[in-house]
Amino acid sequence: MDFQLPAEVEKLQIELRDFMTKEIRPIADVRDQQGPLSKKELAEIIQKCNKVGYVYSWVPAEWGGKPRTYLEHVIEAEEMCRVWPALSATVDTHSGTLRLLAQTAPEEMKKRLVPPGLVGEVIACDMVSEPQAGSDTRGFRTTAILDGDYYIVNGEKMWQTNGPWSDVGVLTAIGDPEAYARNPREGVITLAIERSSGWKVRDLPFIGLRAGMTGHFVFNNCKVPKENVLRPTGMGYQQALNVRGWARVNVAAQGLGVMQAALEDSIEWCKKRMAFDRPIGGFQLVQEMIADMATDLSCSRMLTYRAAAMMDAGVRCDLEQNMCKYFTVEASKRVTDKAIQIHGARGLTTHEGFRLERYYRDAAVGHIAEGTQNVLRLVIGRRLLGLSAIQ
Amino acid sequence: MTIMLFQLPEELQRLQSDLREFLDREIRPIADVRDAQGPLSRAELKDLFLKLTPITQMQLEAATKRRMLSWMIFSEEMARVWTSLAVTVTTSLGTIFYLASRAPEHMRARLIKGGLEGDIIGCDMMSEPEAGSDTGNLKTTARLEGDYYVVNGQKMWPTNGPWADVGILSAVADPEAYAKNRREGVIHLIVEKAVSPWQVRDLPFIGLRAGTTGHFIFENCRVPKENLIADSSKGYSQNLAGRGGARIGVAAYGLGIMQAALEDSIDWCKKRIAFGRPIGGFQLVQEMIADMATDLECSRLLVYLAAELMDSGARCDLEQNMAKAFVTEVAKRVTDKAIQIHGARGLTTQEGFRLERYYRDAVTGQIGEGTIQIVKLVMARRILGISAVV
Repeated sequence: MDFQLPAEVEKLQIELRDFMTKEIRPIADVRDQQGPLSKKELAEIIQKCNKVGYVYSWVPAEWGGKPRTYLEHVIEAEEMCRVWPALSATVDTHSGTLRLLAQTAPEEMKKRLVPPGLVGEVIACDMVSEPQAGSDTRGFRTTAILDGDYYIVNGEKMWQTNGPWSDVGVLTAIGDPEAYARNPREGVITLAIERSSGWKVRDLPFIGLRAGMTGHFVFNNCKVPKENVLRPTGMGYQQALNVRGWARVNVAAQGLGVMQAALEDSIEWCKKRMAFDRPIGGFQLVQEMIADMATDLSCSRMLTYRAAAMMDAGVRCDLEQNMCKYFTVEASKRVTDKAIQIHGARGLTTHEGFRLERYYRDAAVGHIAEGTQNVLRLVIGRRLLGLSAIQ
Repeated sequence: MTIMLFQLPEELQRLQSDLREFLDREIRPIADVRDAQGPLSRAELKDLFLKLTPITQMQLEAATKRRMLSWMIFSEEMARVWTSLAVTVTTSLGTIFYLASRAPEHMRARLIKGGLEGDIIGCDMMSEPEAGSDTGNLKTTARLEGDYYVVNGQKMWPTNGPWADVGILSAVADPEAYAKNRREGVIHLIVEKAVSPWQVRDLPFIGLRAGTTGHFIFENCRVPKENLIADSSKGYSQNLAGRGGARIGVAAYGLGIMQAALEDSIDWCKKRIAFGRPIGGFQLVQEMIADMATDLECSRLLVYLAAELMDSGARCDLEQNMAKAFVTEVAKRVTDKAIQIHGARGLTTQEGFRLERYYRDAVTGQIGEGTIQIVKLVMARRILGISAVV
């Protein structure tokens, strides 16, 4: 079958959904709105999820990992996000970064950080955005200047998922300010930077993903051993682009999970809720909403699975990656909105055991992260037209 | 190398590019001049069928392995170049292939040969003046009298009607049973004009201008009883069974129209200069292109998934309906944006621009085989287990 998930991936999906519904959902529904998890709570939950392959699926076998395909990673994200988007954002970012470290960090660091990283006792994050540079990744100011055996890091990073929990980060910084000033694709490096380097970090709470944390880092003459370079000067920008490609598909995958949950809850409510002497699912306008939600979800799924499949096949798929996030974000706005409407006031309340308002808030974060809709419109347009309207 | 999922298999990608190359070369030049002039004559139609022979053969061969999926690609590629002709040809061939497996033995070979060569045009006679979405309201009757069914009534909106030599006729054979239960009492007959003459007139549409749409009147029209292809107990379910393939077939036309609209728009975005630069360099225009392309990609995946499920024999009414519902809406959006991108040139029937034709063809092609409202209600009934159809 060309247009369906392979049997073994479907099987994985059922297994993960089952696990998430039984083991994680009950925690999520109570814990999410109480605010950020403690590191201890996070480690415990990650270790629960280790049992069905999370985090291990991202790490090379030589470190005890059991790698999965990108298509399977999409399923992992989808199923975790169906029950707890905040956890999904956290675990996905942590896992992806951990893989990068396992592949490219200095040996000594790998030995020290990857094993505890697998079980959530060390948390990783990816430090790209800055206060003045989000969509415009050519506006970096944070520098990492080589001085003897160390890079000296000065500047700020803002909006990093997992930030305040993190023990280690993959830092994108300017290694060669003159080269960068001439051409922003040059002079950028990535470094593995640890908490011991002396950064300061604070949490930036969001509308959604309440149990998660988002960092604002300040680096003031932080020292990073020169061995911690993950890519030599001049290739950091491209690496950021490759990571962004997966990250985009990842956010789309998370969107699938939120939409699936919103649709399930809505279908149930349609059958249960009575108005004018019949289940509300018997009214045509409500039926249209359900049909549209299901269609939005199916389209989103197929675009996202396709992008992942192309990544697994090793073919160019920037267009497909961008498109799946673009569509899925718009779809998730529509779907989570309709889900609230179907539930009436119960769609707004944080109580009574309803989750709809949480889906709406959690989905919103994905609308911005890893490429705003406007940026995606322009990169898709540029690819199709060969004309840039980015600046 | 990993087999890449969510893509057409290689042999169908090749089919698609072979069809496209042929159609661009042989049919597009005719289409662009001829479509606006009105319905094709029988002679023109036959000529076109013969011209299409190389690609109908290609499709038939591909169909031995992936029947519906190859049919979708054929429909899509034809529609990209000449939607009117695509609708005519696929409706005729689709009807004739359907009949060829069910008609009396002595008819079959003749039908297939005639159908492929354009000597026999087929149509599907189901809708009536009072019964479109509401298939429970058929009024055409077929009364068994000796060796004949005697047909009285009207059929309205069948594609190819005025040209039709042969058709599948749905009629009420047992009015009492039908009155009690709409799933009973309906039969299918294969009807031939030469044997059972009828009256028919053309109903021109806003789009699909080179095609025809019939309004039939049957007055004591006698059809040999051997022509029964579905009896009272099967007529209703046969109708339903036939609709799934036709439903996604209609969606496939939408894919072709959108593909053409997008290609023309991309071309224009690079060519047309305004304020000192190509209009494709403006952000609002890029957004339109991004949205058109995304809508088209989603549409493709939904249609191909439904076709694949049909080929594997799996139940897929939900997927068929989903594909139709989505394509119906986005085809309008995409063709509207295509006009906007072209400005006044998007409105003109002259100057070699096709955008207004895409817009007209899109809306015309998407009413048939299930209005969007019905399709959504059927989807929701499947999802919720609650009917809001009535």
